[in-house]
Amino acid sequence: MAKILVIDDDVSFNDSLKQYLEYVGHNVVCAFDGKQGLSLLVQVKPDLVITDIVMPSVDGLQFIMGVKDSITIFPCRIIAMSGGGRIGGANYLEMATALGVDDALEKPFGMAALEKSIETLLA
Amino acid sequence: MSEAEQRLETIISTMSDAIIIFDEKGMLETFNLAAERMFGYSHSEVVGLNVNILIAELHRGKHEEYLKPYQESGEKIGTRGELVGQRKDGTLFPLDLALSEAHLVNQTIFTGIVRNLTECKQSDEALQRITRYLDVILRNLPVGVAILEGPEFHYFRINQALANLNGLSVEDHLGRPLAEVLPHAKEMIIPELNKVIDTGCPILHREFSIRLPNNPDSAVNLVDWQIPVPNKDPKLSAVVSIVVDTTQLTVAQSMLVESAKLAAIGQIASGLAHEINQPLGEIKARADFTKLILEQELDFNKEKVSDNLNAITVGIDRATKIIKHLRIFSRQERLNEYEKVDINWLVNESFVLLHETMRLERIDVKKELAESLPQVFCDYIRIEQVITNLLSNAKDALQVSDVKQLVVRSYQRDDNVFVEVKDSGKGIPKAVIGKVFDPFFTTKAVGQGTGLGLSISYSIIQEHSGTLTAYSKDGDGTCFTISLPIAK
Repeated sequence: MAKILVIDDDVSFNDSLKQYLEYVGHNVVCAFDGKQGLSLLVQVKPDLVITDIVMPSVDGLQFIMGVKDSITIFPCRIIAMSGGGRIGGANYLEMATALGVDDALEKPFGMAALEKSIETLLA
Repeated sequence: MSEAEQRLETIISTMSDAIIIFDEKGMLETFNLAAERMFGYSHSEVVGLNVNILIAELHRGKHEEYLKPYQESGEKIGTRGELVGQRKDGTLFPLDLALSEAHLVNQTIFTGIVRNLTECKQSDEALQRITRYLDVILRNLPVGVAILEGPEFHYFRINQALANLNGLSVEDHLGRPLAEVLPHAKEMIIPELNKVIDTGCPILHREFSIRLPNNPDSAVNLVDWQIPVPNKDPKLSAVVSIVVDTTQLTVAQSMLVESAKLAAIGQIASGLAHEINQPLGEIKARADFTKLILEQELDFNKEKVSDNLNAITVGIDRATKIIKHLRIFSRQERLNEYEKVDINWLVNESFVLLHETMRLERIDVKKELAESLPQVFCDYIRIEQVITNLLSNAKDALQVSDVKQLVVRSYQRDDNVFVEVKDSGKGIPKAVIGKVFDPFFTTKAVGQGTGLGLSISYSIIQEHSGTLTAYSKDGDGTCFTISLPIAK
């Protein structure tokens, strides 16, 4: 089973993912913004990161850029997720995809879709 | 020359009309000063020549024909005729010739009084042109116009637009009295028109609603002007009626207000989507999780299932709250549901729709809300519209700003409660700050704002006997202040 870092500032949503993923057998660590996510990334060295985009201080996009910079040290996979917000005309998930995330899920998404994505990425 | 002859000659030569006298063969005998001025010949140049030299070549035959009946019938009383004269320099001009014939002892002479018609012709022609233009204007004006004459208000003129409005043809009106053409309107219109004539005071821009006989099911909104045109002869006193059908305009205006609301929704829609998708995401995750537990465990962990269901309920409440707030955009009719509310509660409620958008745009929101403020008596959904509008404007002003700070304050002064919305944007220039409440005025880019938000807000606050003011220092943000009277 995989070591997964979940990053979302919505505490309640973060908890629901953590509980589900643990129930299906993963090892889950939670962060509540991008900054915390980056420091846990170094400590935990997860196999996979599931990150929200819109967050205070360091947001998901900045987090993704940070991970991509240090990809040689931590070759982890990233799934971006967002509730479909946008700044100006740009869609967050499209921006995340452009930054090189492995998959993008639009909230609300089903757990089957999440599991399938995890399975594919960690195969 | 006798004294009488001399006197006559002096009189003739000094008369202001041009006078020419010639014999039956047309030989000119007398050519007075005014004639010299008119034709450019001197007396000595023309005496003894044929009168024809004074007439344009083309008209010479006509002139001779014109003389004929005189010569044949011996008629003495002058007849007028229009001819074209020719000056010594060859230039032509219209003239009026009044000719009379006199039989002396041994000859017959013709006396002609010549008048230059140039000016008359010009003013005639000008009048015709004006009439023609006026016809074209009246016919094509999308505004109804009629001229009603005399004590019975007979239609002297009516244009197509007004005839259409009355559901009749132009011909159905002309020459007929108002009461006969529009029997349904006579009680309403005729006393008004009499008043306009009697007092000489026009009716200017009067708005009213009327059901017309050609479409009795729906009322039309009209604006009219009734302008008296007095005449010494009361039979010719007239009223100029101008009527505009504003029914479509009224519909268009309310549609515009709707589109302003829609534009506001569009501006915060992405924030709303995010705000609603967040709880939906959780609801879906928890539901999937619960399903999995029920599938996997025979004797399932009740506490875990219950936790998930609770979280689902909380998520649903969260989404519902946001959707409920959308009613501030959907309410069209003014229900005027006034009640006592705490303004701070209302300020917080106004943030529900914008909270997420502000967060997305990294706006630093500071709330400085005074504690234990007295309540205000208001239609709170409409006041929420106003506050939401001010917050949304502040958000827009901060979009291109380096420092994105929004301060919302509430406080009490005397008998009023105040709410201030201040942004750290670039401010509104002094030259236009006075216009921000004008309908259709906007400082936003084309397509970004309708220019109606603040004007609607202003009238909402006015209806609540409050005030809405704007203060801005160039380069130092803008502050809008609402004041509302304390509920008694």
